[in-house]
Amino acid sequence: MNRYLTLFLVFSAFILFACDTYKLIKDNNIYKKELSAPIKIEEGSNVVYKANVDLSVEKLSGLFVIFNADSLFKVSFISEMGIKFFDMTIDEEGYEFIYCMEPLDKRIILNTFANYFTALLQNPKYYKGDFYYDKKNTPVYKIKDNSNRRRYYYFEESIMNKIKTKRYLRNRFSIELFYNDKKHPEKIIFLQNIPDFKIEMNLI
Amino acid sequence: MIAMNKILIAFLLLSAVLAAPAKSEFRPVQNEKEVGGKLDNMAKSLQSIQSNFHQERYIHFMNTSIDSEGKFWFKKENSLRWEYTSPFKYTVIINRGIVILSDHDGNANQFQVEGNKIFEQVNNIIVAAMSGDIVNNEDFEVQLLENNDYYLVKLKPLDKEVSKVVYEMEIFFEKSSLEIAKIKMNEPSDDYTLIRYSNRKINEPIPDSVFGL
Repeated sequence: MNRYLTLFLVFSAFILFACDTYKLIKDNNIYKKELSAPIKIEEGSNVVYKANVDLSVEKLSGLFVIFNADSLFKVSFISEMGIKFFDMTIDEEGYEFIYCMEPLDKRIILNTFANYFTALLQNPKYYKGDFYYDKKNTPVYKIKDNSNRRRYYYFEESIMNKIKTKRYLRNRFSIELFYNDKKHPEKIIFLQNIPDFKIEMNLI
Repeated sequence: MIAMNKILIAFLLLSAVLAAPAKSEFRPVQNEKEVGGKLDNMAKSLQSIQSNFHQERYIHFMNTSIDSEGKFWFKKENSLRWEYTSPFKYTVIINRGIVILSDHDGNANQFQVEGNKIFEQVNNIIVAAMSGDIVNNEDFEVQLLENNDYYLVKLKPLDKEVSKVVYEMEIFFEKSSLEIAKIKMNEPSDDYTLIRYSNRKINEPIPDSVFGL
């Protein structure tokens, strides 16, 4: 009986620790802050990023234009010379592609773009379970903080929390935000392992 | 009487406002052969262009425009360099069928024009516009219009794939000099890209090194 009890306790302990996907630094205000979304755009205005997109099979460069129209975010991706790659909208209900150029019109590519921009623009409370995330189904952000070191964060009830270890980041996407005393992140790097996908955006 | 005068003045003002846009409205060219011949001759004598450009990219579903500007070089037969200088740095070079794209971080991408249908057609349009061969171009449905200041050549791509991206190109030639003043690329979604040229230098020598990185 004792043997079973010991086995049960060991097993329970294992389950308990295995479910703890990351550790939080608690009661430390430096790493906890209110944040609705990484990019906050005033209603009726837009933000433009120059971007390099690496889809493994296709490399593109162009401009991401992000517009806030009454809490409906409109995202356009156009080449520098003006050729349009896609138009999409994002709101609390989800996303919709209004137009997409044929070579990009593949579900896996569109989903990745949609997940990325949803994570950048939407308040975390609207996140759907549609993402490649951690076991708690929350997106993970990698942010270069004031001490110039890369830190990993996730949202919980609109609070941004620091993650102590990044070993759980495999097979998820990460968004690295670089701030430089500007209203919006100056540089954003999006990385995803499966499938390989990289977007680097620089604020214009 | 005073009221009558007010109405008359209001009517005259309204007429003037309404008449103003009509003045710049485009109409079919009366003597198409003659104008086509003029544009053709001008294009044949053209060897090179150096110019500044201003690009306005209108996004219909946002009702907003993104503006950029830079420098442009063209040398016959088929060498182009677009250098964006503001608000970002980006260079597009098309030379001997090779496209080179380069940004300020030193990232460069190179490919053949031939393998990229849309790039090929847009390049063909720009080169055709610069070097002549517009009015009789078989890849497009061509319409020749004019107003007081410009000749306008409207080109509709006949290729269905291309027309999904660029529905129509409009090339505006200044009547006084027959030089290209602006190019507008219209998309099916009502988006457009308008490129205006300024400070043009025609037929001044351009070294080949301009068309490389």
